[in-house]
Amino acid sequence: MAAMAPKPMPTLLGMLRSSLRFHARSHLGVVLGAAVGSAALVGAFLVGDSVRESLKERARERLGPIAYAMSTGDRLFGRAVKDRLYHVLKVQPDPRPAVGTYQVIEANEVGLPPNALLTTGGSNLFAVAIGETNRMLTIAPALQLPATVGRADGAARANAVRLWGVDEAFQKMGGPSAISQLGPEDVLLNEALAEHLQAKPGDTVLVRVRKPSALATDAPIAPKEGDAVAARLKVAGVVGGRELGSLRLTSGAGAIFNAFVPIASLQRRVEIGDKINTLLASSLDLRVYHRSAWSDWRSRLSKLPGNLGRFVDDAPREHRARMPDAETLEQLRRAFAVSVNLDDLDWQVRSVPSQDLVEWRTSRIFLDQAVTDAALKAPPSGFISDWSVTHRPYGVLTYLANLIRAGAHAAPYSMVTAVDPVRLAGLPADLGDDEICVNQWLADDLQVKVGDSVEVSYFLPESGADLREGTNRFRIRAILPMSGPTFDRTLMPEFPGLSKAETTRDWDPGFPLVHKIREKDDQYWKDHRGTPKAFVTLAAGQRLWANRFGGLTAVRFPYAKPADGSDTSWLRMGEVMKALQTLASGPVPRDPSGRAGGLPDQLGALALDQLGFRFDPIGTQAMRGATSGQDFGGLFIGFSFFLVIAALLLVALLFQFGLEQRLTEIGTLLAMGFRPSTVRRLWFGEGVVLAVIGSTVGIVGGWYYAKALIWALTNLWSDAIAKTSLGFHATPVSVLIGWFSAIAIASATIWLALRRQFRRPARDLLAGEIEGPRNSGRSRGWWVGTVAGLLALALVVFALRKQDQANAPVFFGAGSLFLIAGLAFTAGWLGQLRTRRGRFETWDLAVRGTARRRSRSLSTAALLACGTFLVASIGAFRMDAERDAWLRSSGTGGFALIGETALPVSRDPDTDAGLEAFGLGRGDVEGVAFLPFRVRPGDDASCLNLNRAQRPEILGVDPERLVSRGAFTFAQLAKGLSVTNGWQALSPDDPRSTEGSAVREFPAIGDAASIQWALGKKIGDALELTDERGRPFRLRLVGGTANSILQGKLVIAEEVFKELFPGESGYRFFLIDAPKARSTEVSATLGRAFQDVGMELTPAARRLAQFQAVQNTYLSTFQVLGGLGLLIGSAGLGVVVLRNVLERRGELALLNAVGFRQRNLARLVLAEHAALLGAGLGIGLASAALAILPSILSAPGDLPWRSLGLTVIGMLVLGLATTWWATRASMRGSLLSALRGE
Amino acid sequence: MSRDEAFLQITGVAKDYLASDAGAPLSILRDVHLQVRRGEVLSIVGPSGSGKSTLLNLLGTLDRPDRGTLMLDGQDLSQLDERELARTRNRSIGFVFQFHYLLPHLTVLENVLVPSLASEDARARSGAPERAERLLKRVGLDHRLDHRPGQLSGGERQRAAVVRALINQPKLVLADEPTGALDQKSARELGSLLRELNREEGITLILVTHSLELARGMGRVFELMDGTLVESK
Repeated sequence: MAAMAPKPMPTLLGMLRSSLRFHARSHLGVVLGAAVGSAALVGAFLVGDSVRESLKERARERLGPIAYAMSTGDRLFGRAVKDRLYHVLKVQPDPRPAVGTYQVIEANEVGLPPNALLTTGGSNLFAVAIGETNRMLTIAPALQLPATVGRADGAARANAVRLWGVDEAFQKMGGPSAISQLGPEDVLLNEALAEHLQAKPGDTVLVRVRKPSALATDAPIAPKEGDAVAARLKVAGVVGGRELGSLRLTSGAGAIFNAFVPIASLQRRVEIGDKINTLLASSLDLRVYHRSAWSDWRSRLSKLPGNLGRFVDDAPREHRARMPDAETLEQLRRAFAVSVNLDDLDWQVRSVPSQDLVEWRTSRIFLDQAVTDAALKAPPSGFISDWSVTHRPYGVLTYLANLIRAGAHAAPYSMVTAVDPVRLAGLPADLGDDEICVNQWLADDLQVKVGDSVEVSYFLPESGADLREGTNRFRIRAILPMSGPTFDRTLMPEFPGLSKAETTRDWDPGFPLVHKIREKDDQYWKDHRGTPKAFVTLAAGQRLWANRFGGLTAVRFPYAKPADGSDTSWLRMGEVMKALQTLASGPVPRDPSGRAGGLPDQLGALALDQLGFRFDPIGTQAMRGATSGQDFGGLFIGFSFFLVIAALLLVALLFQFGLEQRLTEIGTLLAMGFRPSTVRRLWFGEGVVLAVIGSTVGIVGGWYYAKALIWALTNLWSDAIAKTSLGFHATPVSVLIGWFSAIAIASATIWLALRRQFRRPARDLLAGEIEGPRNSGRSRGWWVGTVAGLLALALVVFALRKQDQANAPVFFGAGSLFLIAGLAFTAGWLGQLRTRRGRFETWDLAVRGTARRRSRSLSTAALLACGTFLVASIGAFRMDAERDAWLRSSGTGGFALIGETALPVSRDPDTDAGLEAFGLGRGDVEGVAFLPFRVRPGDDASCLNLNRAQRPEILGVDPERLVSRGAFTFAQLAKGLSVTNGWQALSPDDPRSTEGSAVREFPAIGDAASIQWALGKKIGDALELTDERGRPFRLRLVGGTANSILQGKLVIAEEVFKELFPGESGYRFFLIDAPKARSTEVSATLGRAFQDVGMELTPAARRLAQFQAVQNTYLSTFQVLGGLGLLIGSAGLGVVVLRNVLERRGELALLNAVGFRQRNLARLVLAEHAALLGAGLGIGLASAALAILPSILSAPGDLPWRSLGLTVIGMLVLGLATTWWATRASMRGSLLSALRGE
Repeated sequence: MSRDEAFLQITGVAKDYLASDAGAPLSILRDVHLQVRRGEVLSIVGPSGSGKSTLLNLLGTLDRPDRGTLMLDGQDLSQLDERELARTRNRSIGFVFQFHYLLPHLTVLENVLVPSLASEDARARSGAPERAERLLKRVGLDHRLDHRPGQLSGGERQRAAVVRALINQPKLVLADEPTGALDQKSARELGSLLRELNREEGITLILVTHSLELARGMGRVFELMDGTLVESK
């Protein structure tokens, strides 16, 4: 028989495999621990995926295929712009989404035909196309107006409704299919609005909408009343989210109320002709496909960087690619520039033949300063090529003087023109800024002569609806004749309510006529209309009357009359119109889709953007907001922190126990000449395999854990996500990240557990000694404990002496230090117990038993103490909005109510006139005070909005009114501010506002939490934004209020607001003081009075509670997940008990043999571990008590004692139950068998 | 016997241990001197706590002396770092402990081959399986090659441990109470086996035991008393 071949050599890998198989059962615990940790991590990442993907879904639902929007508010333009855009852009309407987004690169970079487009995906060339025939873009015009919608029976009303006038183009874009069937009296409500109103098809609703006005209601001498219309409309249907029912151009929290009506009927109702204020556009897509000639380009394409030259698909086929935002926006901008006409811009050009000039004016009265500056500063040849240098255009500002007084004589309501005296014949060329020329009529009326003084009173142009008067004194320089260039009725702009009046009795201005109009005034009006009675220099006039809407009421273009006396006014008018068109559009190529060239001239570049005609990439902004918002993955990793730690400690404990059972194996291998590093790697490899197995199992757990959390977020904790609907989503990347993280941290834990054992000599390991004698721990324990305890004490004393009892972080820090001190003392105490001499009683056996495995005991106590500390102390961070809500320092600022209106309120309701406008007298609202805010709508930057706010809502307020109230508490102010009250930092004359920067910078204040979480900024940072005119500016965050109702908004000074957003008229946000006992009654009174402007009143404390609910819910989440961690901690305690008893079964058997009853021994074991439990809970509770000391001291009655008590009792019962069970399980059977070695 | 002929030479070795309560150090070995020739068998006896195992740990490089020198085959062990000590243990020293310390998850053959895994000598490693099977056959365990330690009797386990100690052909085998956990018959058989293997393999064998019967059959006998080594006549 042939000899058998010797068996092969075993390998280290083979040893590892054998060991894993052999110890599989004892490894089960480690695997389970790793699985729990992995489940928590993978689950947290999947929650992040779910929130992110759900937000993206909501954004897609909100906007559908809409990628860009131009929303111009009150600045209206013709609907025909849409058709012109199609024509200019050479696009076909087709809202189907592109397959993907690809980078379009310039074809001529590699010498391809100039009209070729290359689309790329990543670094791979995707397709090539020739020609411009495959461009697809859908544009929908819309008129969107703020409105209120109420049930006809008055049972319900929604105030913040967006009323959309839309047509079939909107329907093509995915809008409601019923649009085309709507009659003029029909309305479609979106689901949220229909539900809010409990309205169904066939019901009648009352819609009230504000008429858009060319003239901002804040503009001087603008009508303040009669700007709203109401209509009874029949609900024709309810629009779901899939039909753009939830359309909103900004991101925000809460319900979106939309109503849709045919655009023509809405335009008719608000009397604006065929004007619109919104253009919605899909992405500009390219249909690209290969051509036969493209193979010739292969060698050229290979010159492109990276893999761009590699074709992914040789087969000729069609692809559809989306143009990048930047290029699309540029094309839209150019196309819009050449699509608008002067009428769209509200610019009028008229000839004044009597003066040989052409005049440029606007029905908005004031011409925007940006464009007048550009027109007047441009060289004449650059503006109108053949215009004579001697006939340069000049500006005119005509304003209404309420009264011109000289001594006892006064003339009411006269026009005064400010003009450069050099440019208007008849005025003294050297007219001074303190001088005035009056016409003969006025001189006679006032009985003045040259050299006399007159006082001119006028409405301050920035006083808005408050109509405050200013007065200026001038010296009469000349008396002007009642003829000639200065006697010109065309100088008066078309003031609404005045310009068309035949007599003064027909005047219908937007202000009260308080001065008596005499018969001769009426006669002057009849004879000469608004012919100015006085002239001042342009500098003087602009100093008094220039405002945010502009500094000129007309620009005049004089021309030289031909020598033959022929009338060339029509020709000159055409030239001016052409020049103005160029001013608006820039000399762009007629074909803006052409890819060559850029805007060559500063004129065109500035105009339209500065007038607010600007497309915004709202699709990209929405997606960015959805993906860059609060990272719920990170948040839930934080919430699951203790759960993960507990699972890891369990892994460490169980792995350690397994290791301790196999110490002799390690010792043997070392004795046989294995290097410690080799043996350590062998054991570590085993641990990593366990971590991998556990983490893999944990993926399944994490999947269901995430589903459970999503369920809890949408059902139990919905306050934390402002009731946003969430669905479960998982991406492989998140699963992999979670899995790898779990493996990494479980492996690291195992490595740490291993490291300690491998520091010990082989002889100890061979002897099976689990823990060697160590003395350093004892002394170090006392030392660390003393230092940490003293630091904790110092922090508390410091805070109490500074009366800083509200400083929760300080006390939380003190509590944490106390926790460290407690655990360090426990370590010292355990060390002392081991060497204690003297007293020896039965219960000493139990207590000293805890010291036998000091690190094991300490780990268990630490786990329990940390869990108790976190769960108990975190509860005290719950916020109660009602607490101290009437105090100015509270989160409500001491205000009782918050009022938000759908339509702007032009008069400050804190004035008698403001109240009167709403039919209220002081007596009706006794003890009520209003603090009005201007509002620039934007993204809600509160924690209720899960998206990252891209353009936060901005409020403008008079800071002094907040300073005088001392409202709100500041959590933080920017460094270096020398203010006694944080609101003073808003003052626009603060040097920070302009200091050393080309971009204007203004101070802003927000809620500290919003700044940190919703905006992702910190105090001192700046936000880059653009104003209404498209000019960049910076808001420097100079302060953050603490937990306030200002969440979601940034507050700036009203003066700054008006400069940045002149078109945002009136006030739409109010903080209202009301007597505490009567706030409900006041709310009802104001709700009725302000019904026409759709005022929604909310108790400030309730609003604060809504914000705080987010934080409170997060705390609950943390507590629940922390509780799960404690459960694992208790399981850890049980494992320790089991292990301890099994290790000491022989000793216990001996005690049994010498006369101890088994029941007593069980009590002994129970007492030993109850001591650990008691130490852990005690230290945790004492530390938590220190952490929540401010709450205990300030309002002991407000602490959630019941829930805290239940938590502590729960933890105690759970710990004892686990210990009892483990003791019973480990001592089951006859102990004496252990003595017999069975 | 001249100093030059000594295979193992211990000179003035002392070892103290710190007490667990940080009291005065406990002196286990005070002044130990010993010279052992190549291939010699000797035993060390002494009462419990006399330091027999400590001395064996020092000889086996599992511990370092506080004072004195240990020369093995002309090499001063105190000059070696941990890596070199591990190599020396693997190449030159074999251990037989009171408890077998076989790895429970490996078969008898695998257990025997474990020291070869740590060997840096590829040639020795390649011949190890054959040698292991031969030695196991020699000790009567050829029918147990694929059995795990849990399936063996106490005597069999200890025989497997002896073979494991010999697998790398060490120059010195240290046996610490190898029969301590065995019944009388198995202990006697193991004693015989060790002597035979000493003759056959030419190894130097130092045996620590309580058993005077075993010690007497092992050549020179030394007694450890008050931290010093005294040869019994």
